[in-house]
Amino acid sequence: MIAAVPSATLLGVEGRKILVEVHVSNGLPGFTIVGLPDAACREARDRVRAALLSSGLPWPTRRVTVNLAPSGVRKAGAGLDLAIAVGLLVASGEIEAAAVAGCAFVGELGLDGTLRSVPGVLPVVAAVATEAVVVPWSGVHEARLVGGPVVRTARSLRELVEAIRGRAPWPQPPEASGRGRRLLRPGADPLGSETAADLTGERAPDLAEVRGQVVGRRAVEVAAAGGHHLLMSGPPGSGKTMLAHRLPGILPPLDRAAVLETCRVHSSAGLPLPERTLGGEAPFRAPHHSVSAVALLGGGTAYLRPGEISLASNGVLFLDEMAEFPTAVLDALRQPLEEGVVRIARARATVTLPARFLLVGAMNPCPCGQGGACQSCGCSQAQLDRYARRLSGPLLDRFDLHIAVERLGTNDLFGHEAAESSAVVAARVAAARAMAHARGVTCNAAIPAHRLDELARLDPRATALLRRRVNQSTLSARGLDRVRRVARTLADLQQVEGPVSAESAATALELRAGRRAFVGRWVA
Amino acid sequence: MSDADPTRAELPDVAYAVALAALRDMTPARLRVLLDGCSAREVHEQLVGGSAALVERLARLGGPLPAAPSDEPLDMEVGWGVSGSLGAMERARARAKEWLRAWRLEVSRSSVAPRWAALSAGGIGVVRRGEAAYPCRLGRAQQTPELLYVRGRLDQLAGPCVGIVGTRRATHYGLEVAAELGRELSERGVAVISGLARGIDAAAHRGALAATSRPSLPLAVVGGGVDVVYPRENLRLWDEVVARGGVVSEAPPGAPPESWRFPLRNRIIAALSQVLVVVESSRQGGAIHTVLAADTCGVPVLAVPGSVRSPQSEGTNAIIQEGGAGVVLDVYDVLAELSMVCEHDGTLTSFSPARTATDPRRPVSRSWRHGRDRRPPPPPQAELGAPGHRAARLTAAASGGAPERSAVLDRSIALCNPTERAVLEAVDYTATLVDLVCVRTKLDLGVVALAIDRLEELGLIRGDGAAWIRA
Repeated sequence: MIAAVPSATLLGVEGRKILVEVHVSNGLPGFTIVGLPDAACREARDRVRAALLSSGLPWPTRRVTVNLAPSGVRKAGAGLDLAIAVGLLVASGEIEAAAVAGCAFVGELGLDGTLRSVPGVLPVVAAVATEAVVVPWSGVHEARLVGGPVVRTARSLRELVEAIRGRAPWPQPPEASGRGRRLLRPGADPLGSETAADLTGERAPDLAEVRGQVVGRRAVEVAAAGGHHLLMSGPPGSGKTMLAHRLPGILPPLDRAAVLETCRVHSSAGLPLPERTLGGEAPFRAPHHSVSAVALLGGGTAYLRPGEISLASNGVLFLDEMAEFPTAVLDALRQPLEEGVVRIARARATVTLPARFLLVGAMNPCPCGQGGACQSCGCSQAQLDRYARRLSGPLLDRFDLHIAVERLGTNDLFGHEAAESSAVVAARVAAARAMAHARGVTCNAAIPAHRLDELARLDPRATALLRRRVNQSTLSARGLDRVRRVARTLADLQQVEGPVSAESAATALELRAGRRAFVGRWVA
Repeated sequence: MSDADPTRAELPDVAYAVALAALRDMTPARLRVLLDGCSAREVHEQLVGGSAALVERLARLGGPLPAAPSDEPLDMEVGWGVSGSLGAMERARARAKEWLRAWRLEVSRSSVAPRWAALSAGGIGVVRRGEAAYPCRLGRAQQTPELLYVRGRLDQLAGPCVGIVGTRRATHYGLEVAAELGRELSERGVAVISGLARGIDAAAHRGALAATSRPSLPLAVVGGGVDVVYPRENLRLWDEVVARGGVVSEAPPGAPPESWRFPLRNRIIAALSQVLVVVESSRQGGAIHTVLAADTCGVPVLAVPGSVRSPQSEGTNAIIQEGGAGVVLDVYDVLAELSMVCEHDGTLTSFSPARTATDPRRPVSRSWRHGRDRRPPPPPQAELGAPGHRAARLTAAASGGAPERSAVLDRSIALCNPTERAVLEAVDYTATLVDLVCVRTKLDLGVVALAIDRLEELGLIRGDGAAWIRA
């Protein structure tokens, strides 16, 4: 007897459709899995056998061959367990083939027959393209996001078989909190209009709480509006982290495709769905500086797990203590920063993972952390030079905004009227982004150099101002392009469509002033 | 005019002094000479009657008394006592006669009683030299003021008092330090004496009034009349000082704030203070007058050091260098000095001059354990003793060497518009971040950035790493 059950495995953030073929025949009893299974996959034999026996189902004392088609593709993980078990039951006549026709199965089996979750339910379900799909209990939310197949679930193999045989109804998945509740409501749009605050009951940190940091506040606003990468240097306690954490609150809400993509990445990484992102808030990832290159970029041996930059895609990647990151790891960011994707190539496969993130770096001004723009510390010039070299020139060049942040005196912390709230800033940011879209670019940071004259035209005073800097050699040619993009964003934030004013140009230079302290003395 | 007038008989003697002080061209020095040891009422009568004794007394002032009042500090010193030829004496007599003639006319037209009534109605008190309420420390001032007009109260002078003075054209650094010192002293029960002028004076008072825990009462010594608010921008501050402490002046009510009155006012601040703190001053600023007056009264002077590039700190840095002033790094330096003065003259204090454990300052060297030992040794007594020694040195230093660079900078400043000037003033002589400039000027970042670009083009500021610095 032969059975074919559709399923899928994960590679990168994509599912790959796999057909599990089970052949039960007379011969010496035995169980073989063919079709390039990896270790976890090959061990399915023992798990499936135990699960069947624990569930009171017969284990055929005949020759069983399982083929994972296409045979040339490496299969990783335990996600095919359920499909193998179901195929076996069909092939040995326990279940009628018609009962499982058009239904795909995804999930790992426990020895007692329970159905266990696997990473990447979302991309896997998207890949199977069948009428119905059976996923583990906890993967129902993710599977429903896909919006295609009918999603069914069961707690254990026994429950599943009963439902397939028609002896019991399909079990209803549990009520979940927050977003999950709506995802499970039949017929409801999995991506509704609720915001992150509605879903989680937690407000995003508000920009109004940041006092006195005029340049810092403006820099995060510009970063959000123009997609400009931001580097902040300043002593500990000066508010760098505080500023960075307020970025998701002012970034424009993600569209449906972006939410799905972010969910897909999280699912592939085996992480729970980001609830705030389901409400449209941009993801925020802040890996510790001990992160390895693979953890940051993605990779690994099994199924090329997405890294932090992909998890931060459509959102913010915040690298605190940036100078403490290994230089090689930081430099690996250069290509993804340029292309918006990261291509992971291994001997057996090459995957492309999304990596359109806003990079926000924070670092101390010197090794001891007590120096800064306004006071000096005990660090020697050699130490300072070494510290500055931890960020390579090409990486430093990717930052359109580079500001110095200082601890404020008590005079500045008290007695000021409340600053603008995130809501006000977010409205301006959204309007500025809309202007950039109308011009046909995703954001101003992505304006190609050859279109700068057309899209970021300078008025005569701004031209004179920047020309003077270039003539003084305090502004490089590349710096000039970056300043023009930032100036365009500043103009957009003021809803000025025409040429960029001198005021915007001067502000853009100030928002790069941190670079002066960093690269030589003067070149911005 | 006759004794038969019943209302006049009840008037106190000081009422006549007030009437005399209010005469046109009556300076504190002339008033003092006129009233020298006599009852004001007698002098008043002599004036009406015309008396040769008055002519002689006034002529004793002799010399270049400010017929056209000048604000030279020498006002207090030179011309005090007769010098010169017989011709000069004759000229002095002739001038004295002229004044007396004018005053006689004025006195006969106005009467004493309404003026006296108006004073009390205006809430202005008068203290005359020799009265119990007259601040005893004022006795050590040169040309001890004959009369002191008061709005508010004076009893804070019984406790510890510190004068805080400085330039009117202060930098933000100076303003912030003055306010900080004012607040911290006030919170420790030390009365802050200042002049309610623009700049440092106002900042010190603002700081003192901002004190939260058991604040002391402020005292302002002003140049014009106590009812003449000058500068007008300080109106609210002025009213608050009157309400919470006191405003005193030597000038009669209604006297305009003429420039010659301010050096005289400064000597009162110096004499009333137990310790004088100069926050920022140019080499020839008004605050230096106060320092000179403090020198002659024996009031210890402390100065807040500043950037060697800042013109506003030239004077303070210079007096520190000359060894005449202790250095203020924080409020404890002031308290240490003050506690010694208070111990000496028996003033009751409630503050502790010792640094708290939460606010320690480690000595740089083991041999300099205490605040006072950080000071350089004072210059030889003979050198200090010469009157005007400090004035001479300061003046000599200021006149030497043509300040060509500053002239260039001044020309550049003249090219700036008001916004650019405001931004320039917000940039310190030490590295200043743009954030701080925005907070100080309350201008938008874009406006500040544009102004900064222009100022940099003019060479008035330059980039210092991520920050800006005054050229």
